[in-house]
Amino acid sequence: MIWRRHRRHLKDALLVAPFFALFALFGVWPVLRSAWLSFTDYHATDDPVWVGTRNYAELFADERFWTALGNTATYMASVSVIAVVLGLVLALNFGSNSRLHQWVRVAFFLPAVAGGVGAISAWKWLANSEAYGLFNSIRAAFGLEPARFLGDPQWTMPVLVLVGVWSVLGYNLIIFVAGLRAIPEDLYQAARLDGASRWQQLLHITLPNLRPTLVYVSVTGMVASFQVFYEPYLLYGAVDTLGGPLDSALMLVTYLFDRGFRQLDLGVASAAAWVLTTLLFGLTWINLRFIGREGAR
Amino acid sequence: MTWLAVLRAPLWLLVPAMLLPYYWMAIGAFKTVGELLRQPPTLWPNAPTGRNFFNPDWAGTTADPDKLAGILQVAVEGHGFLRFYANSLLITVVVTAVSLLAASLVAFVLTKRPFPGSRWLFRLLLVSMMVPWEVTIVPNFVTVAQLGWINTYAALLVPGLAKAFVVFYFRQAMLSVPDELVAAATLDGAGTLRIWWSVVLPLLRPALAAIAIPVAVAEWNNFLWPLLVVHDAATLTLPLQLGKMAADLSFNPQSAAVLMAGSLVASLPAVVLFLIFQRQFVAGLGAGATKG
Amino acid sequence: MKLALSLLLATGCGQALAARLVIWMVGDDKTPRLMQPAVEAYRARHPGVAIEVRDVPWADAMTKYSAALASRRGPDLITASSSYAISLGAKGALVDLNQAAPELARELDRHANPGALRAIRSPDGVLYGAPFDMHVQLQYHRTDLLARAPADWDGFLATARALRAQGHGFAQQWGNTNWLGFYPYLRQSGGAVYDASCRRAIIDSPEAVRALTYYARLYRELQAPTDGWPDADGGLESGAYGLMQSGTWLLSRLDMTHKGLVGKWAAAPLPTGPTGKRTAVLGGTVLAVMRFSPNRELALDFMRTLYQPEVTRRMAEAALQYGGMWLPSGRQDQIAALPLPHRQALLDQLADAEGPPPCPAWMRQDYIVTRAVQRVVLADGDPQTELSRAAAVMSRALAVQGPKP
Repeated sequence: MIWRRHRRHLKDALLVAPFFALFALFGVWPVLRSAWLSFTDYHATDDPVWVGTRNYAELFADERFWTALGNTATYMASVSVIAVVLGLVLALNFGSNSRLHQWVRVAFFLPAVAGGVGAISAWKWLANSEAYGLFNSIRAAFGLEPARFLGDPQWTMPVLVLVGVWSVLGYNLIIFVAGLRAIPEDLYQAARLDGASRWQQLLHITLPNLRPTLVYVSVTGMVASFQVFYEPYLLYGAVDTLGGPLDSALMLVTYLFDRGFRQLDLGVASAAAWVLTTLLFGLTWINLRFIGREGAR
Repeated sequence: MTWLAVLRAPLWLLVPAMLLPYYWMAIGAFKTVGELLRQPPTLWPNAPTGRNFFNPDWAGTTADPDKLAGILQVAVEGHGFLRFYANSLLITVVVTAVSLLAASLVAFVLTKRPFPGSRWLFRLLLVSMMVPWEVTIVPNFVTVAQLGWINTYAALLVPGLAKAFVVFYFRQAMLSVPDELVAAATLDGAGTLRIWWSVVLPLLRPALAAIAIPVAVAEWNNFLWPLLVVHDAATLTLPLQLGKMAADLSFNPQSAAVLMAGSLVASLPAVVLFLIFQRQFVAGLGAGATKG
Repeated sequence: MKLALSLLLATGCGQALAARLVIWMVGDDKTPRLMQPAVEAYRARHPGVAIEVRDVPWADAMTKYSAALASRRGPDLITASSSYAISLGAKGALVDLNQAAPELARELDRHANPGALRAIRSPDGVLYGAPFDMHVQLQYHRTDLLARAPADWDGFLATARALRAQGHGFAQQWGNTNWLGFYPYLRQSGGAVYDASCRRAIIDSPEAVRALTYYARLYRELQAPTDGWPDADGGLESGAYGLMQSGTWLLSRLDMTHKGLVGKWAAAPLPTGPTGKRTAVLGGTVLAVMRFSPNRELALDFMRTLYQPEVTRRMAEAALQYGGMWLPSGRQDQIAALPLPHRQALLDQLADAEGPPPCPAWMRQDYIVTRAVQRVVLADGDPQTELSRAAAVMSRALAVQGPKP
């Protein structure tokens, strides 16, 4: 009896073995290996050489790293706040089942489906710094000189945040609509009977009941924008630098990519990856603490 | 409530703003190079042309903007746009199908057929989901390079097959598979594999359909990893080719016309599929959202 | 474990053992065409050798070469920018030509552009590659708006201001708001990045400050565009710019790409600076052999064929056919014979052109100079402050890491 059960266990284990073999090779071992590599000097031409914490010291002494960190934080905060607030406002206004509202939601959701390189290329062309870019043509209509959208450090964050919000707004909208629909109608009815205004209903019924959704959207949104890569890479990447003018578009992951795969400082890149991981842990923890628990009234 | 309608008015303006890149891509694809560089730009092509797709004047490599290759004629090392399309399609379909099947099997075994140690495997998967994938890039790159997989399909297919979060998604879905069915099938002599294939998978069909969509979309748009491991035209994916063309845009604005055509061709199928299967897309991409 | 995995999982990507040479060239899809005469010449004498030439987009070059190095597999020969070649060489990725092909090295000494050769020779005499092609900065102007190009710094500002009053601006294309765009002005004013020993940064000298102050005026007074690569040639055609700076590659293609400019443009050497010099940056690529290549002798033999005068002449002519340009850096003697418009401007400028600072640490530190330039140009910084800061950072790094890349 037991022998048969053991045989069955063995066969089941064998069934999942290929998955876990791949998972171990590409998911588990790299995590450990990169932790080790972050303490080595490694350029892919020769074997790694142990150097202790030198990579981390170099990282924290590198002005470009701090620029990347600052940019990433700004980008993440801006995109998160705007995309959550705007997403919620849109969900409240366009959440019904009418055909019109459905099509509006489709329009917002499109970037989530077809927002890849092709769409970013269209943005790059729209924001062209020459006078024939559409944005500059609009400026010309108001009598303004062309703005160097892709060549002026002051415009970098607005452009990136615009594209970032554009990418995630529809997704947030859909999630919020689902969350709003999950709130039982009788709660609202009871409040209306009590004479509550729309505004009060929003504050005391909608928002509190939407908290789990808000937390989810905020946390996943922040984690995702912290890891932004291909928008800054495509919009501001150039032959010699990935950071744009004055490194204003340098983000943590593009910095990692630059150090690791263009300058072949694979040890430093591994260190940067671990710093990113630590920051993400911290970020998620902070989020869950404050947004999750807030309102213990 | 007219004041509400007034408040809503600026929100309506957001709709065309969201669609602006697609509109610009679509009209740009049909403008000539000269018209595309005109200032102010035209909101509708003056003389719509198909040259950016197929240029009859193309006679080989040249810098002449009237004789540039259309997007369907662009050939890199003998491979054209359709090849890149096919590569992306192949990768997307294979990775989605295999990773979903594998993850569902693993979820089934770990939940309904636990063996000693399976709880630890679950915990391992859970912990791995907390670590961002950037941590794995450098070692995976070196592994793939040393295995000789650079520029092969293997580099694009294999590393992405074991997806932990899909296992967790199916674990949730397993709750809806009645234990009695599994027990009954076991008594009938069916092995784990057969039960998974004949009993569980059919029950899981809606969940499979839902999770397939975000996985497929993510795989189609995958950029950073392919950027590292694939450079040869034979294995190049569509986002990479477009990325090269987008990089060229900074140096050569005259390439914008063909780039817009390429972007249109790349985005159109996703847009069309989405418009047809709206509900499934929305359900799928929100899959796992409210559950957290 | 790795071996077992390779056996288990490796897909058939086998390297054929027949004689086959793989060459990667940075450029665009047109670039491999100019290698064809060399390929044909070589295969005429060695018919059994297959030669595969492919292009690597500039933006991808570093990533692609890194992947090749990491996998110890890839091209036998590469072209790369000279500064990148030095950094690759210092990492041990390239073959030293002085050792492996001394007669070729001697040949290059005789015929190559000296500035280009200096840029790829390491201080301890290692020659990482052969100068392949070169480009130099030139100024271009509309002949219907301007009779002659300005001859010196002050003349330039006056001319540009006058043009701007008429609605035609100025744009710098190659190296805009970058060390590369600033470097000519630095050298023309008598400044330098490093001292002769390559151990100290002297970019905060009074000459350098003077150069950066002048450079900043181009943006503050002339409102030159600040993008990394403005559409200067398009602007020249539309009249948005009456004067612009770019590279020599435009000479052979401007008439083709901007038909509105035919007969209305001219090229000239850069304006002279306070020292009377009109130094421009000599950009260009280097042809090098990868150390891990199994076909080293074959690759070196190919290089010897390539640098024969007949072959380089045909390569230069092949490039002109499609509007490209290949100026044989290894055989400068042939440039005077090329059918190019405004060829004299090119020759005049080549007589006073330099590559990037020939110090190994430069590849690691160029961004520091770029950042100083951008702080002044894009963020209203003060030239002396920014250059002093840059010099301090660079010297400190040199002290810690030594003058290595």
